Amino acid sequence: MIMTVTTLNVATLKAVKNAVIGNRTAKGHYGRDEMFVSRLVECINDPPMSPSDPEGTRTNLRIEAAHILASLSYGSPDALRMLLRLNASQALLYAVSTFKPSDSVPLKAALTRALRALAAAIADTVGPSQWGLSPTVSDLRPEAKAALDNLFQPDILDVYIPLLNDPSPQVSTAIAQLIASSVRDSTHRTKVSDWCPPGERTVETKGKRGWEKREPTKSPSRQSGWIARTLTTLLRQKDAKLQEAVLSALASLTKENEPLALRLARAPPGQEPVLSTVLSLCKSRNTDLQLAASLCATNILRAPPAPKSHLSYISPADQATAITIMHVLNRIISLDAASNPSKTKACFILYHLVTDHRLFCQLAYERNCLVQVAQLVTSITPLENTEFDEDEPESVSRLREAALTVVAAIAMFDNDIRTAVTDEFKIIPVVQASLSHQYVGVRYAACQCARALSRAVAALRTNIVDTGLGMSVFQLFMKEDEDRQVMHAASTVVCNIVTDFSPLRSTLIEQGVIARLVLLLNTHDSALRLNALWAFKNLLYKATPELKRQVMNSIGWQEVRHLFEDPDHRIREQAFHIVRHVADGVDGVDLLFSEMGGSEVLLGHLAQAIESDDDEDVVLQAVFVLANMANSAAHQRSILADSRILKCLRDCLIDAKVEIRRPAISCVLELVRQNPRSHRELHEAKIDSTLRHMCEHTLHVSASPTTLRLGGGRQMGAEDDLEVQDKARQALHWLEHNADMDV
Amino acid sequence: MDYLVIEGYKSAAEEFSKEASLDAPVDFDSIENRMNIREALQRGDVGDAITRVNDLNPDILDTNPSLYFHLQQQKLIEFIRQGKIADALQFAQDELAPRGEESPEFLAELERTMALLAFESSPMMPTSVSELLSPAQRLKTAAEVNAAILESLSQGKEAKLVGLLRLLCWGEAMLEERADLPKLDLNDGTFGERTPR
Repeated sequence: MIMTVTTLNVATLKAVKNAVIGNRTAKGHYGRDEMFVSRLVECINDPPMSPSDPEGTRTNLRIEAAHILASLSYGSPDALRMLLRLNASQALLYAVSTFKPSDSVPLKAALTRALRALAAAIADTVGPSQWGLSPTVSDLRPEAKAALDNLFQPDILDVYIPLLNDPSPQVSTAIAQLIASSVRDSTHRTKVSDWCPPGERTVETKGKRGWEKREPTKSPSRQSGWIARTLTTLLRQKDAKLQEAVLSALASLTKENEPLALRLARAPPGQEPVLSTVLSLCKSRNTDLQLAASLCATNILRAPPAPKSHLSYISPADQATAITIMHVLNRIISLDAASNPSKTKACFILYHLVTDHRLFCQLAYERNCLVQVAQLVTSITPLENTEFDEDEPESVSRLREAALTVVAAIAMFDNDIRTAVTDEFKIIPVVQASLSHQYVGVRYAACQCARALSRAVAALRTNIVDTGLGMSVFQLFMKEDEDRQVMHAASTVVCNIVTDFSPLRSTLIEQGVIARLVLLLNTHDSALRLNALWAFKNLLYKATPELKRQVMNSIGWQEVRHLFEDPDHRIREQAFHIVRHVADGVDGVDLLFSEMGGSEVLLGHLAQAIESDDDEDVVLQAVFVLANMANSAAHQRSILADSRILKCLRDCLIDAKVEIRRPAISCVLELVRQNPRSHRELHEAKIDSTLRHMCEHTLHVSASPTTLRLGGGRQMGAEDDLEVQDKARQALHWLEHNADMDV
Repeated sequence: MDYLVIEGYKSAAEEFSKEASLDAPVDFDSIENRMNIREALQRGDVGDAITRVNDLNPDILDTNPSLYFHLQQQKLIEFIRQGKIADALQFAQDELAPRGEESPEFLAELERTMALLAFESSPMMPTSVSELLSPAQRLKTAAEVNAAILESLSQGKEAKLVGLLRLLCWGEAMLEERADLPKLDLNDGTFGERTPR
């Protein structure tokens, strides 16, 4: 069926169209033919005509060319590569920009459809994936990113966004679908949300003072206005495909977009908010519509940041919305007649609803979401033989990925839920089996489940150790050529199972976890490096001196010093935290001093961090290191001899937040208690007067540990935290006692 | 009306609409399109059916790999039925083998179809293979295409009448366990005596 095309006419184009639609091989074949694709792209705006051509040929040529371009966009990386290289999106945009009222509906529909298909393919290449993990990162990504960014330039938005109001539903649907699939990052999201038509723009630019310059797309009173209003109006039309496209567009635009989400969730008195319309569409009879509406409602609900504590308040309205969505999704998940793709989407939407949100996780559990998903994943996973069918349809693999992802999310916080997952629903065998699945998304999701389960201290032995799940994840972690994303997930589990109370700690060490972690530390991947350090930190907590030596030698003492100055503050924080754990215990402190280049170098690093690091968490860990070091009598003199460090301590006592003041005062107390002569150095550093200030003006405070701090320092230099106050008093006592004893 | 529209009986639907003074829920042309496609498949002209589907909506076959595979499978079956063995082999090699490579889940079906060639007219041919040649297979493919088109238009896939009958039979079966009741005879539409179990 694949032929060489010499002349481009309606007949040959139709033949090519029928050859490529559905046929990935044919798409690749034609897609690699640069001459053909180039002529095809030209055909969009300037089709080859001859005088004998009948009426309407020009339009028909353009229509068929558009259909072929659309089909070439998906399913064939080679074809997409050619389309990017030949700037097909520009040709389509130009065609769309030159729409005339006299243009036929089929022509406009074909061109907008092609634009949508190409934009979606480009967005998929750039990522992030909208449903689950993207299996590979394409080498086309840089070119695709440039093409995608271009789609959101102000003058380009002017070309296609107004088509949302086109009288033909095929055109408006295509544009809504374009927005739905292409808007994936916050910059693009803002540009589209804030867009308004040129007419409104110039009016606003005049403003009160006509000479004031305003940005073309920022019209303050209309921010997030036009798009929201237009899409809302379209939503109320009775065309199911259009409604589905609009809901998807709204979903993409409201994701992590609090201003727009609030606008849609609220309404002036007497009017119904858009969210109500969306929720009623959740209950339509059409599954696709239900899913699109559920995703939209979910994104609106989750746009504001998740509450930090489990004691936070959820409004009854929000709770009702969440429950409605869960009910709809549950139904789809448990419905036999629902297709695998539908169930997959339902699972992912549920995941977006509950992820990182303790209260919604709890709600989902109470609403039996976990039951349904667990039943689903158990039903599609063969447990008799551990080998998965190689011919398993992709749709089943994706469904498994989606289901395990939801299970992991729901079980992430609460022990009762974790217990249900393991004991009641017996998910562990499924997770075990899935760790060796051929599809990367399934392995990733299985690791996330293992991670959720490994967070339970009490259940660690039974769930992670006795079932062998921990070691299975570890095997995955040790694999040489495993996917980076799966490695990341597996490493989070490793962090949890190298803790001091984990029965697996010694096994893991024997089997080479340290060397592997060092390898990860030396990659360029910041997420993997961070996890490696985190694992080291856990490994070093309450470790024996031999283990400490082994770990630190493996990492390299020089390397640790480099990490103190890493550009990423999270890395610096972990580096100091590691050293803090090493310094826990006299042997550890000795080790530090001998291996870190001596006291000057070591204290120099600490002083540098405490004085000038922007990040409070880094400072905190550095102070903890100091505090631990002060417990070692042998090295206290070094600390006392270092005036810079003493100054740091003093500054902490005066200025820092309470979490830092506590270890700082512990450090001072230890120094004072064991060193009768220390009062001289401490006097020179003015720490003694600071202590006096802290003890003098005691304010009546509540026992709450988080007392309000006013401005940069405390009022009158007084200490408001009871623990710090108490230690300060003790330190002062020792200081004065020592001073009295001295001549 | 719903039944006539979904099953694609255009002229019947037109007449019914006139007689009963009912508005048609859809444009009659779209019914005609679906009818033409069904007819093409029933006479074994798969190529024509594919062309018509693509003219109607180019998205359908691109987003429905399983449907596309079944259409190509039907094409292979038609080659074999007509005795065009050389063509069949060429087609299987050029068109179906790549499908199997792209999506391994179709391999089993592909093997079943290739078995038709292996058995030729042998009496040893198992039913699972020979049924591929039956008219029922054409109808099955046609129904799949019809459903996909209807879904793309966001219309119901199954005639409500069919669903209602199914519900009726299920309801009767449920009730029958607890009470005597006159059952609907599906052949002539009358209510008869309860048949002893």
